[in-house]
Amino acid sequence: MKIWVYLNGNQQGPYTLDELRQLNLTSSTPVWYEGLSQWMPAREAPATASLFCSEPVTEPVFSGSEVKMSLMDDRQPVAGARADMPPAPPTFIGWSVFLMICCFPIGGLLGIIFSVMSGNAYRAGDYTRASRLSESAEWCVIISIVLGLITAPLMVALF
Amino acid sequence: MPQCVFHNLTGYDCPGCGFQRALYAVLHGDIARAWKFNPFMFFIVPVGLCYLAVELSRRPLPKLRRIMFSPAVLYSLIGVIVIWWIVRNL
Repeated sequence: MKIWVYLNGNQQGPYTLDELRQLNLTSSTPVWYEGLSQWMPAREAPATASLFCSEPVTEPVFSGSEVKMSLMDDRQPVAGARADMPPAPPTFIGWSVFLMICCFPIGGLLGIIFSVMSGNAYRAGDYTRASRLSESAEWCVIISIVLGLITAPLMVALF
Repeated sequence: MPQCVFHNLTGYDCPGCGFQRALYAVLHGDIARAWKFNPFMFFIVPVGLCYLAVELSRRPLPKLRRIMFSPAVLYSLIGVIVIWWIVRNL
């Protein structure tokens, strides 16, 4: 069985189960193999869970990327994406639509456009561009929220 | 009350013009008056809140996300806003 892992900020693999034993996997290291619908912590994936049964329970050590991975629980290998690509960078579509309607239209609109372009770039196999666009979308969301928070008290005061 | 930049520059209403007055009316319990200021907000604000709810949901909701976050649906949403923009200025 070929198993990919997400270690030290990089997707690595494929490994066999025996090779994984040699690596310093924590039980929360994200893993994926054919048949899993999404990345999941090694202790929860059926094929790798056995690696942790005999070990004493230790506090999992989170690296930044692992924390990020565990938050992206809806991230799945996307159709069209190559198997050796890292998971899709996060998009901010929900935030962008909300902000476009309720807060700061131009910022939200740009957030939607960057998010959609990021998804397209990822599906086209261009991970670098996808993550750059994802970052742009994130900035649009942050700026919109900040502008919204500045103007909201102003409006309340006017009422 | 803050002025709409687009309205001041062009004399036309933007999609959100009347939004604050409508919000003000709603907060004072006057729905009919709010409807007159900006009826569109009654449809579009719940949509925006739905998107925020899905985004913040702890459950993955893969099907719902795939539909709501698909480019076709997003561009339709923007299209509806643009149509409202045109219609209100006719």
